[in-house]
Amino acid sequence: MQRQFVKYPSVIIAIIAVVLAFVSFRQVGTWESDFTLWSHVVQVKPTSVRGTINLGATTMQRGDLVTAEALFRRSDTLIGQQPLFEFAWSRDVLEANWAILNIAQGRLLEAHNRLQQAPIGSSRASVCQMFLIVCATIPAS
Amino acid sequence: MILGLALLTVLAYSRIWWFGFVYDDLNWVHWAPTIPSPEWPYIAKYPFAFAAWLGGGLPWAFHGVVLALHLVNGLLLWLLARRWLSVSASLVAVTLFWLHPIQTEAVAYVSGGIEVLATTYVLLAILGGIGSGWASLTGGVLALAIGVTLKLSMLPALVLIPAIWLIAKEQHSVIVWLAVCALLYLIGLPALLYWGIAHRADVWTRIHGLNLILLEASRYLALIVYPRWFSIEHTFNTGLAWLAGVGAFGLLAVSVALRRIWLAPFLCLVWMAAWILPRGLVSVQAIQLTEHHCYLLFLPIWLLAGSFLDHFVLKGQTAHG
Repeated sequence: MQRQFVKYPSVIIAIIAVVLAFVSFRQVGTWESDFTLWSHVVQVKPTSVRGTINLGATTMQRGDLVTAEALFRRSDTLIGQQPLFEFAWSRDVLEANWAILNIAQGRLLEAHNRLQQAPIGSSRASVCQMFLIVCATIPAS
Repeated sequence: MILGLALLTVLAYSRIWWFGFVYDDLNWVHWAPTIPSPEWPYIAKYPFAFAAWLGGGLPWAFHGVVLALHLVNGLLLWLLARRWLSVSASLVAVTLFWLHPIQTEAVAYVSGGIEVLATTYVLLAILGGIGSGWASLTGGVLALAIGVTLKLSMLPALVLIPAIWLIAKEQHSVIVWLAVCALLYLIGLPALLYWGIAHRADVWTRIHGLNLILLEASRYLALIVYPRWFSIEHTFNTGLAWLAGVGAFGLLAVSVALRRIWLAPFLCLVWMAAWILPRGLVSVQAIQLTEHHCYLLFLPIWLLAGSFLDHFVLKGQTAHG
């Protein structure tokens, strides 16, 4: 390798560059959209709470409410398994997204109960605000 | 060759023009057209204002500006590398910097572009600091870097590292190593002041935070060697974190032992430690590093790869290293 490199440095660097460019080209696709990003995260780390919640939220935005609910249920299980230091906000984020899903499904009471469970005061206030805004748009839609 | 590498980089990132805003992007890009504004007064971020003007707020222009900055950074790294390394070693450093897949989060994710912009300022400051004709502007460039993100407050001290490298090459004295220690202290102190008040925690929690960030850094270092199956999510557990903490001290010991025959690994560790130790010590949370944070953190890693080439593969072929 040493002799080869001394003899043909440009060729070897070019080969390394092409291989890296190919791997980067594939990896770049991860950042195409929220859906590709969180799908990739869940694919690489199936136990990721943040990844599963965000994939659920993105799936919900795409209109697939059934898959979104399944992902939120999975997140609910995963939150109980995660270390305490990882994402204290997970429960809040999950409940807020799940409540929006419930509203989209027309299950307003369930949505209300989820918002009551949101544990952190400041976040709960913003979540409730969001809930009211979403509720206000329902009659119009 | 450099032009070919640049073209290959553009090709590798050719899909970003059609990408949208992702995740955190929308939290801040809408401020870009109003720079400077009471909400966002940093002139350091003018490149993003330019992107907003150019694309009318559409993502393609932000992606384009970040990619352009990535290319500029590669050229600046080339100028820096050529001061110490052979042409082949410098090419290896730039190839890895431009095309390694660990850079994709910083370049393809608009929010990651903040690290790319900060790196542009840092590289300009380093080149200015070691005498590239614009030394008098170094302070201003550093101010711009800090304007990009406050976490770069330790930069003025970090930029001295290349200078210490040059001195150390001339005389391997105890004074140099003492200077490095003093430098680390100077870096750590303001960082502790910045974050310490907000993150009150006991000693064990701080050590745990330190272990966690070392685990994150170790994980990304491993991904440089084997860049597959990485994402912005991490796997944490206490055992792994302690292993990373012990491993970091092991690496430090090895680099100190090697310093007389190969100084680069030690300086590389000093740079990385200066970045991550203050953050690790004062924070109690995981996820302090993702790939785009590694863009600036791992800057000397690419130079280290070139240095390795000069020292152990091309030994005797070059005058530097």
